[in-house]
Amino acid sequence: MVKKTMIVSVGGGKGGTGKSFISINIASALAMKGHKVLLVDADVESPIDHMLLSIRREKILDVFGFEPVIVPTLCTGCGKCVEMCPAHALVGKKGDIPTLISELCEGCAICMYVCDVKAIEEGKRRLGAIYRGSNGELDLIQGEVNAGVKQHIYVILYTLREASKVFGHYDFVIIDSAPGTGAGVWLTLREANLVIAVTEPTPLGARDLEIFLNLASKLNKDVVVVLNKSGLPGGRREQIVRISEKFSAKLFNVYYSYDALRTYIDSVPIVRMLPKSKVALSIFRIADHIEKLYNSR
Amino acid sequence: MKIAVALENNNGLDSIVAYRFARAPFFAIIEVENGKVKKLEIIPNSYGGGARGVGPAVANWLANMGVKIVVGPHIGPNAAMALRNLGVEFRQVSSGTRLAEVMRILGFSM
Amino acid sequence: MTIMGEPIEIVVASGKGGTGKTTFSAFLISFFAERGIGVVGVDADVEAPDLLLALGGAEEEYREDVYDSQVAVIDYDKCVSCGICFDSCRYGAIEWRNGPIVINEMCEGCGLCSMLCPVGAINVKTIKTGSIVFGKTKYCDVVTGELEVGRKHSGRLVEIIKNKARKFDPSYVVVDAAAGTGCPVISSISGSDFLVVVVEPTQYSIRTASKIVEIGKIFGVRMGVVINKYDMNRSFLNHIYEWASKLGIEILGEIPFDESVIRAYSEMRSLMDFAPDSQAARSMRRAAERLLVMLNG
Repeated sequence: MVKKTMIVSVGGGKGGTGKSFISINIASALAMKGHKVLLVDADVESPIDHMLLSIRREKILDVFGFEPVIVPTLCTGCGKCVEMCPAHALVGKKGDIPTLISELCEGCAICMYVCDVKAIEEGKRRLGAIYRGSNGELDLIQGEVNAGVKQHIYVILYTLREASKVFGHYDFVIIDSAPGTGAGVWLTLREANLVIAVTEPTPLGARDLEIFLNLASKLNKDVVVVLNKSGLPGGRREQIVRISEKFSAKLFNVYYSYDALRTYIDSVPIVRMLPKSKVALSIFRIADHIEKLYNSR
Repeated sequence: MKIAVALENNNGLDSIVAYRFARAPFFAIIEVENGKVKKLEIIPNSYGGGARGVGPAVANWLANMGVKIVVGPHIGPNAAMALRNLGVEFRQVSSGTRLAEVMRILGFSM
Repeated sequence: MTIMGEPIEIVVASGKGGTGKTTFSAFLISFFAERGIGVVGVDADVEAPDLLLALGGAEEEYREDVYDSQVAVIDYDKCVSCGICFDSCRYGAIEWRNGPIVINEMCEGCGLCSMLCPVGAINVKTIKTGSIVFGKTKYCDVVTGELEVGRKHSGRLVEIIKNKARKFDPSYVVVDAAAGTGCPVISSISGSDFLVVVVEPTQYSIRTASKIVEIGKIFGVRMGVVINKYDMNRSFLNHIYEWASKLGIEILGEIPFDESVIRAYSEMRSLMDFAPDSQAARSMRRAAERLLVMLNG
């Protein structure tokens, strides 16, 4: 019997805890065990998974948002669109044809709807792009938003939508989400069967972990906590243990090591490069756990 | 011709140029004819409290009032673009400068 | 100092998370305070705030709620499920699978659906964006933004907390930005006087830092680079020098990886307090001094 695809979202709240490092290594570990794996890089503001896996990516499509195009021959200069724009992206004196400040436009399209003379047409503004690639072991789909574009959440939505078209081809989908706990992260957690919260043994990691787990529990998700950089000199894990217990989340340690840093800088997954290392073994343990959950569905 | 000056307070000619353009609490609207000031009013900035696009919203409001020159402290790229598109000139004067001094800089007499 | 007490605003950003923004921001704040220079801190990482922690915690705190987010709400007594709202929403905020039409977290509150609804079943209402926390640390006041989990509009909250900080009328405001390059980071950089770009010696960090520099250039802010944990990959340093030089940005300083930084966090004390003579503290002090020279020179 064919098992349904399992979606695992990797987040954590705090930036720099190693979400991407953990995501690519768990994805690689599952692929090494013979599974069909899709990695979705939804960290659209600074996607790096293609670099971490040395994958040459190719663009699948551009993500466009709505932008008004004013037809000068039809425009009466009534100023209604200027008045109604919630972002004040249209400026113009009464009687003149308004001009658009692209950077402010949020793409709501209200201007187009309020124009009495149909002088506003649907234009496109390039918000970002979606890419794909493969290293022969696993496949990658990645979204990237253009610098300065405000609608990064929309690009995340589009990336997930595009990726979800092929979810059915895979045993596992690993979603590497952005840092934070806002609407963008909410999107990546929404469809997850399992959420992995990556944190580090510091009070900052603990604090942000708690905020993140609050979000995950609001969405009724099963969570596993991965304490990355465990054993970090000077660090403390008691708070992390306590918070994981509070949310009834199983806790896995991934140890801080120079090896992990080196493979990160050299752009190779540690599970591939040094499969017998302490770090790789701890990641395989997490992959085993995920596999077990998959088999019991 | 109308000129607008972004002000931090309303204290007549002793008012000072605001710290931020778009969120300036007041604007002085100066009507000038033949180099002499015909009328001067200080009005509250009703767009200053908005959530976003405040610069362009204020630029739009002033332009629709017939303002041709706007005086203020540094402005952001969105406000700058809005003023440019509206055909309104921007002149930068340091925040804290007294309105009377601004008028002198612009070359107008009462 | 500028005329009439307008504070000089320094924003610390990086793009990539975990590079040391908060560590440097906290140190800079304590550096000013120890010299008797009036400073207020702003934690603009509203989805995962930790500046207060980095300063050794707050002696007293009080909060203010912020109600600034608009969302559309459906009155199900009036809704006839015609689907016009579903067809027109540009944000993917309206869902209609089987059952009632639902508006989700993606809603921007633009009001289009409300305008188009033929039976007036949709209204835009204001909901809680988050909170502002005013904390008194041993060094100075710190204004922190806390976004409601899963919420949008982080950019607006950042603007609000920056305004609150200015009202204290200090000589300097130090803004600890969020990770990423999106709306909250843009809001942090907008209107500031100096942007400190914190990088670590990896290609991933530089890639995202370039986007931050781009934003800085759009806003015409002066910039400087701090290389954190420089000894983690010395061979990459020349690449960073070239990158900075090509962009015309000065290097403010280089900070080594130092256990004291993590220990200080674990002890819930600021680095200035816990290990003022550590390598990290000494090099950050040099960078701060360089920054002061650049600001006053």
